Amino acid sequence: MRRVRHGDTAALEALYGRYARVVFSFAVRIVGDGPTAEEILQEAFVRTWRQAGTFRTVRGNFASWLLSITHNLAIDELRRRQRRPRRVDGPDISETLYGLVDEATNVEEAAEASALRDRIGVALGMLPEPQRVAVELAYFSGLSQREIAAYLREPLGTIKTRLRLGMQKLKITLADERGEYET
Amino acid sequence: MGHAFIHGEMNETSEGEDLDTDGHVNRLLAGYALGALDRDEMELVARHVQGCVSCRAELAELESVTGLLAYAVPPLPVPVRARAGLLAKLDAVGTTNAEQMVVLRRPARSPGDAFPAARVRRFAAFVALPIVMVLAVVLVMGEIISDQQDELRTTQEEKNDSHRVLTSAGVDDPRFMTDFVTVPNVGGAAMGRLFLDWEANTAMIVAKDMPAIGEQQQYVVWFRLQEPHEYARAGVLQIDAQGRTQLTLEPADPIMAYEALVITIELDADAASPAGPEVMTAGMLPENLQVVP
Repeated sequence: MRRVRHGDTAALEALYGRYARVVFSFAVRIVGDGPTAEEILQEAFVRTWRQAGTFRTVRGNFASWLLSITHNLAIDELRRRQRRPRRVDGPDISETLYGLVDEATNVEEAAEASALRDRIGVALGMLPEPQRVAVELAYFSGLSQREIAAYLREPLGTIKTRLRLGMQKLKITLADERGEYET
Repeated sequence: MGHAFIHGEMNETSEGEDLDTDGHVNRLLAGYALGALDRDEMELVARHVQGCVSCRAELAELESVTGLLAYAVPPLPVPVRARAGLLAKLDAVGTTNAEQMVVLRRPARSPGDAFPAARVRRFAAFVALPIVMVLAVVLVMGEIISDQQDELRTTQEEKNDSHRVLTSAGVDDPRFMTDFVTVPNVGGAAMGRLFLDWEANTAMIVAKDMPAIGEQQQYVVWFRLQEPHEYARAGVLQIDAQGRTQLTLEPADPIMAYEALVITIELDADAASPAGPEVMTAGMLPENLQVVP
């Protein structure tokens, strides 16, 4: 990031090679289509470029900063589409793959991310299903507690509790990953 | 924490238990970290954590959890055209970023403190290319910016007081700009740019994608002094249906006396000092600024 702050485009490309895959996948998961996720991927890195000077003031590591930008962009896109929750599995990216795959995105990060993904998957799997669904609707679909309650036809208080308990449990079960991730 | 907690044996509770009896906001922090609260709740939490170490620490832990959730998504191949698209966008915004664009020393506030002409010449040469690139971005911001820059130029011609100070410092065209930094969870994907004209003592805000706020709320703009950290109310932003806004400010005091411009959401449109959550901030110190072509 220090090199990016000093205008090194090669450094930005290196970050792109390392993180584009996780950013793109994350964006597809939220918005549900490849072309929009591509736009979000590009915009996230443009903002990284333009706001590199502010990075040092942001809590957490670069990945969390970049993914936070991605999340904001993707959720805003969802909200522009009148906040309809999408399926949580299998977004169709066939249109995206009409383009060639960027093989330079990548392998080192993919291996690290794969191990982390497994551990997070286990943590999510340990949550009672209603809590996991509530957390996913909030985070990946950008729904408010009130909207989740309406969507699931459950009392608002129940949804609030599910989110709170779910997040507390994730905080505990992912304690090691959080420490590792922040470093 | 006990094992039972992990396995979901705590009972789900009913609505109406959001606020802690001890005045803290722990019950709202999970929703805040997930971005799932209503706006008034978001504001409540944002205000509280500013002054509460324990809630701020708990929020940081929960936000580290949400930061990890992105990794739960199975990886997908990235189309190669996305990289080409990114490079094209970088070309459009300029191949130099905000930090690389020259750090200009704060201009002297009295004629006796002028900085060396040689430094100014090096500075001018160094920013020549970025200026051209930045112009492209400014044009993309469209008609709004163009109109407002015309307004700034007009105002500039009418005001000459600070001009003497700046020209004595060797600055020929003291117009600068900087991008706002948006506060996560409050400002969403809002983007803004602040234009400063030291000569005309005028500031102009242009922003887009501002989140919708309640009918009783206002986006209020504040100048923040460097020392002491006091705020001077500068104005109220009017947001259009597309989330865009523009506002020109002509403060009574010299704008170079301020270190930042801050936008908050306030319930009291006439508030004398900020009480609501911060939405975005633009640094006004020289190291934050780029030259406007």
